[in-house]
This record gives sequence, structure tokens and C-alpha cells, in this order.
Amino acid sequence: MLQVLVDWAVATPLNEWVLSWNWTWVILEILHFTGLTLLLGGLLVIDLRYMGFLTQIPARATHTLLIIVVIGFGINLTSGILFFFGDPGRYAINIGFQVKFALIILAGLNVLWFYLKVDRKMHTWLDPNTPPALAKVIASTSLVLWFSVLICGRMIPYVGTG
Amino acid sequence: MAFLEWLEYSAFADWVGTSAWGYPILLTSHSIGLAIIVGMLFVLNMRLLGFFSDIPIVSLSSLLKLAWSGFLINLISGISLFISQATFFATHIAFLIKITAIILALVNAAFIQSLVRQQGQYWDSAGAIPGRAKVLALASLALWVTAIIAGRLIAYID
Repeated sequence: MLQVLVDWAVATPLNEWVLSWNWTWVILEILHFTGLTLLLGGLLVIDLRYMGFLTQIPARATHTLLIIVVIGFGINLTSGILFFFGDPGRYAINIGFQVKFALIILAGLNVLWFYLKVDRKMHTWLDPNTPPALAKVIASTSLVLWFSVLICGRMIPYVGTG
Repeated sequence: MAFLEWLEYSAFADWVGTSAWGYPILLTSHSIGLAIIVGMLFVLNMRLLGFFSDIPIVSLSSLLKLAWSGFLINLISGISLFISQATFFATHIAFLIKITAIILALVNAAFIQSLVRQQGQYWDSAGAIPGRAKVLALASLALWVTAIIAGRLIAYID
């Protein structure tokens, strides 16, 4: 099934476009690194605050940083898709990429969990600046997941295809 | 030059270059440190430029502390990576640009840190940030983007 996906992807115009210019790949890498600093930078502040650190920042104020996280994720989703279409055979069978992909899905579910169980209940907190225990669990899970995504991504060239 | 070669032939450099895990561990650490330092400074710089105004300027000191820990990770991993190919890096234009940008960015960050410490509370109560802080913030953003770009180009140009 993976081979069907790879065969299809490698035959697309997108594949041709990514490979058509020598500098496309390094530009995508630069974008991907920039995107990850936005994603992780924003999340570090938000998640650390929800874990009970950075108490000088009002908890609600960190919310406004979500736009940076979303922009960073958008940049990396786009560049990531272009990487994949540029060399689908390499990525599809790479264990580092597969685990990374699974972790991103888990991170997305974690975001959903946060929205349903914490975000919608912020007005019920006894103290607007003391996040409940569940918020701490979700926030620390978020950081662990996203830094694991970074690690898996960085390991892609080294956990090779054999 | 002789010193650089001496570094390259050291046991540590040998481990970095020939072991299966040396490069992956160091490069991964370098990415983690990069995410922390540039991520934290990005939030800080955007705040100084006037965005996310619910975040108190005085709280930026704790972001700076985190940023310095990210820098420490990258100083250690960076030196380790450098040692393994000292003569290559020392003469590589992209690497030299990267290091220059980083040194300037660190000096810039130190300026911002002392300004925030001394005047942050006044900026918070006045609800306004002076022009020179914004200039420093813009410079910081430009320097770190330069460092990222130059770092990525090392593998691609001679």
C-alpha cells in the first residue's frame, strides 16, 4: 500500500516541481527550521505557563501566542509535504519519518483534548492564574510530543533505509 | 591552522566523526537548542515590536533565561561539531557568516536584557515601548534568520 502511495507521489507534477531547481531543497529546509522555531517557541511559552512556570505572564495572555504556533505549523506542514513529494520513496519507508508522522497526529489529538477539556473551562478556574492539574498534564504532554517530533525529524537521515 | 588540525585529530573529534551516534546526537541537540533560543527570542522580539501586548515586558526576563539555556546547549554541541572538522568550518564562508551573526545577536540580546531589566516596568505602566528597543528587536530577528540560513547553507556551498 505504501508502494502505491510512493508510485503515485513520484509521478505528480509536484514531484517534478520540487526537483526542478537546485536551490528548492535548501530553501525548504530553511523554511522548515524557521517554522519549527515558531511552533516550539510559541508552545514553550504557552505550555510552560500551563505547567505552572513563567508565572509573571498571566495565563490567558499566553493564548495570544497560538497564532505563532499555527503559522509555524502551517509553514512546516507545507514544506513537509513538499519534502515528501520531492522524495517519497525515501520518506515513506523511513522509520524516523513514520514515527514523526504518528507523533504529529498524537500532538493534534492532544490539542483537541486541550480545547475540549481545558480551554472551554477556563472561566471556571478558581484563580485565573492557576491552571488545573489536567492543564499541566496536557501541556507537558504537548512539549514532550513536539520535541519528540523534532528529534525524530532530525534522525531521519541516520535511521536510514538500510 | 596547526591548532585546528590538532583539534581534528583528537580522540573526541574522531568519536564525533566515526561513531554511529556522534553526529545524530550532536545535530539533534543543536536543533533543540536552536528551537529554544530562536523560539524564545522570537516571542520576545515580537513583544518588543508591540504584538501580544497582554504579556508584561517584565516577564520577558524569564524568556531570556530560557533562551540562554538554549544557547548553552548549542555552544556545547556547536563546539563539538566544530572540533570534528575544524579546518573545514574555519574556512567556510557560510559558517563564518553564521558565527558572526550569532555573536552580534548575542551582544544584541545582552543589550535587550539590560534594557528590560532596568526599564521594563516603566514600559509596562506607560503602555509604550521606546523606538530603540524596537530597533534592537528587528535587528535580533534579522540576525537569527541570517544564522539559520547560513547554518543550512553550510552543507550546500563550498
